[in-house]
Amino acid sequence: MRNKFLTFLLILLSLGNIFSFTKMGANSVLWDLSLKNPFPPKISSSPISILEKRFEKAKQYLPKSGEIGYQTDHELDWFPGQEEQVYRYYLAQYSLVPLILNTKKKNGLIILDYFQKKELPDNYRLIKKFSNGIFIVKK
Amino acid sequence: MIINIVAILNIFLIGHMVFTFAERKNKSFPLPLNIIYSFMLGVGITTLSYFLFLITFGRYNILYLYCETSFSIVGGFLIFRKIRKNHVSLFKPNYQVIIFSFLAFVVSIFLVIFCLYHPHGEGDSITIWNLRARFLFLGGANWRNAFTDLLKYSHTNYPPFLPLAISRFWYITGNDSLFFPMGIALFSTIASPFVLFFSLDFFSNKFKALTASLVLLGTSAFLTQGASQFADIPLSLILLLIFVLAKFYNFNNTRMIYIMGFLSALLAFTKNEGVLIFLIFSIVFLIKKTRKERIAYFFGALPVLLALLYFKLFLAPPDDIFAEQTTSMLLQKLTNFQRHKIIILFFGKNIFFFGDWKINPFIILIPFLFLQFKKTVSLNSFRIRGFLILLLILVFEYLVYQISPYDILWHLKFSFNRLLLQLWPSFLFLSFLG
Repeated sequence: MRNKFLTFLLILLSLGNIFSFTKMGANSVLWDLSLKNPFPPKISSSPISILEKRFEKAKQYLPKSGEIGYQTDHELDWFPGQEEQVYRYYLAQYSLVPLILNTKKKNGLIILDYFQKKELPDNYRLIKKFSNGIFIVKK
Repeated sequence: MIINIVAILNIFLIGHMVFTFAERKNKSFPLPLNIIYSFMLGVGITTLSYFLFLITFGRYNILYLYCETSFSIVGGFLIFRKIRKNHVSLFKPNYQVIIFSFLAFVVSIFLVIFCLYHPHGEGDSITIWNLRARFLFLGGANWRNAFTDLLKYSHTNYPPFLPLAISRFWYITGNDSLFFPMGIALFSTIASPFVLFFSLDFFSNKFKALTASLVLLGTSAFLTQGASQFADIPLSLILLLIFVLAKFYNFNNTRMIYIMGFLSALLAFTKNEGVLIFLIFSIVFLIKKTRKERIAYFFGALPVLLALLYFKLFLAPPDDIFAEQTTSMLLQKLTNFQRHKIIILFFGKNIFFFGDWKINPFIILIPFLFLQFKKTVSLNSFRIRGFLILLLILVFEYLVYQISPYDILWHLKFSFNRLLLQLWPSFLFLSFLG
């Protein structure tokens, strides 16, 4: 009897949790609709797809495969609390597969992925500059 | 469009062919379980054969698709024969099935929407699983670059089951559509409550089946992590399938033990901690089994273990937990009281709060389990051994945290709740089994 009562309570509680989950989902859909965004959302307009497009033009000037250098104006040595910045490197890598972006490589073809810096550092020969903070250089 | 259907249908038909072969002598599983087992087995078998093809021929070519499709035609013929002989075990709809199916459908709609908002997944799914899948697909003959040491922060030593499964779809269809990783994520997320419902309905009663599956459907973290394409949720599904299979056949059918061995080794091919889960599960379950049963289990696991061995020996860089640590460093960490204290406190604080629940089900689950076990059960029972497996997994994971090369709090914060989510569906299955 007590078992049945507890099971019944668990069902009620779970219904509350399911309702809360669906309400959260419905709220985010309503919020999106209020911003007049298309529904269902387009894959190409997801934040990662937009970040991928940053590299779209640069791809034409890069080799199809192999290894190139990668530098950014963010700290790339990973430590706790630094995930977001390292994450940007991964997004660049994710966008440029099958090229391997080597953060330790200091010579040859290098892609500079700047979020704040505007100027090219010394000793680099510019190959192509893009308007979105991306430079392709050689050293 | 047709090629997409072929890529999916091949999985189901091949998986079903093997499952039918295994369950022939016994009575059948209910239809929804049969379908889920067929899909999971099919994903495992096709992924392994695709991996073997890549290793043997150096890159994908159309010959692979021809071979796969030939096998799936045989699988299709077996299904046709089964339907003609009316061997399909259907379930009878009742109000519990209707309530569960309705709620699962509503939750699935929101999961699909969630997936569409995060089509690339989140966190690990981008930096590990989908990144690796892209290397395998876009790399062509250089697919081995997916595991280069240059990407070591992306844990290139993690087993490649998911990236291989995704890139197999991409190779067959010829484009890297995000619908496939999304589909795998959605399948493993929504299949778990279905497995819980129909297996508990089979072993226990409909009321308990409904309760357990609704608790899982109400676990927000499980749903969002699944839809975010984290590998922990497919791992949790495989573990649940193994528990259900172990209970259903209880090792009376040697053929089914092959499937159990195969699926449990698939845990090890999915994530590094899956190796630990595979070992613990195998040891606890093979105790007191006959030699014949153990050999069957081992042979079932063998293809996956060989693939894992090849991956670890020839493709993966060294494991990041052990690579840069000497034995004395490991011993020093194991005897560090401060680390023990941090982990115990973290376990204690978080063990009941991993589900991102609005109302925590443990408020009722704990007294419910207490009442269940008051009237319990011999120490040798299936449930006790099942709980022992889950407990041992936690104990060994505790030791892994203890020797972790990372900042310990960071490591706990980013992985402990996912570890518990891996065990959560199996815990619910065992809890409501009585």
